[in-house]
Amino acid sequence: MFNTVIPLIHPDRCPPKKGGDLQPRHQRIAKGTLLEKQRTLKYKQGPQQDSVVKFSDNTFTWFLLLIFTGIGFLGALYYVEHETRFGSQRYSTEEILRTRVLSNRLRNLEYQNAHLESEIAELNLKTAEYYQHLSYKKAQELARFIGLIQQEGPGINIHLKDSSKPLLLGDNPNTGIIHNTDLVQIVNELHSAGASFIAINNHPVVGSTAISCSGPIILINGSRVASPFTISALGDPEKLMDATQKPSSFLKELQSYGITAQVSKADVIIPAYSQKSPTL
Amino acid sequence: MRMIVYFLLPIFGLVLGVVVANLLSVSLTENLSLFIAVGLIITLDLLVEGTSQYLGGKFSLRSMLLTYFFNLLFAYFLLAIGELMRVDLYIALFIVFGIKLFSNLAYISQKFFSKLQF
Repeated sequence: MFNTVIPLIHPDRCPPKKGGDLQPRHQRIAKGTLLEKQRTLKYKQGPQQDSVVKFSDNTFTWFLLLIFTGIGFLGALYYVEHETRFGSQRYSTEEILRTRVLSNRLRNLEYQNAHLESEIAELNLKTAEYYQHLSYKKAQELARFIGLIQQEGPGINIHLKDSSKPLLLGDNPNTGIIHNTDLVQIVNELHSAGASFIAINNHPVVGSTAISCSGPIILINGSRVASPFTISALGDPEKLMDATQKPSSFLKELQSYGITAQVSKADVIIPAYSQKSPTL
Repeated sequence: MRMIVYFLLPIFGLVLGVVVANLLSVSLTENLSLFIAVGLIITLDLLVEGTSQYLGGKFSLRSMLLTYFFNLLFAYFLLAIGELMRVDLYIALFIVFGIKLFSNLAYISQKFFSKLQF
């Protein structure tokens, strides 16, 4: 592409001149042009030094041979199995390096594993403690209803006596005596005021206690309880006193019917509830 | 025809090197991989330097062999000292030979792709 020749003479089919110089078939190069200089120079100087890269130099090929032998040797040395000093097993360098990497990773994982195992043990211990605490709390809650253990502590005593007012003509005698429903309501009020344990005439009142009426006596847990009644309540004495002395409390209502109620703060003992209570 | 031979000869050298490595039984030490790596980088550097000199016109097999031998000698000497002192001296080797390699490579790419006629 760079060496195109510009035609200087048109092709001519005329017969050649006789006696003249024989023109060659190829293009005649005009003198003084660049092309003439290039062509003559090339023939004079010989092949130019670095025009084309040639692999005709012998020493360079030997050099390449040597170098590639070295590369092949060193590369293969890495992968070929050799004798180890430690045993009769044959390993290659690559295998040894890989085992080292894997053993490091194994060591790290084992360390992390031990860490996590100790954490698990701690957390298990904590959950066991929580469960214990939880069951203890549940037992404490249930004790309120079960009352299996004798309780002692500050509280109040309420002495209830039937009214001793003389009956007038036309009065209902039932208004002046204490009914089981009255006891139930008093117990209810005391519970709502924060009493934790209640006993009536040293009979503990638990969640399943029935205060029922049978004629002139009242049955608590199946055992007979007669007037006068002493209701002992375990709890904060101040709160319980306030609850009973309120003008809207049930005790005041009973007192309006003539039933005497004496409330006093005392250290009360609530006996334990046993299922084998004496029956009628 | 000659071109094929000139390309096959280095590959034959590679195969020869692999065969020799298989026949050789070297006792494995911990730092054998380091010695192999240093040898490799020096060989590669020499290869690139050789081709760059050849393309520049000043190639001499004698000088190549001499530099190879003395480079290897000094490199392994440095490695031994580094192992004794427990200091990583091979890092310097890698840096220096890497720089040489890449600078010669740049020269080769210039020469090769400008002078070759497609």
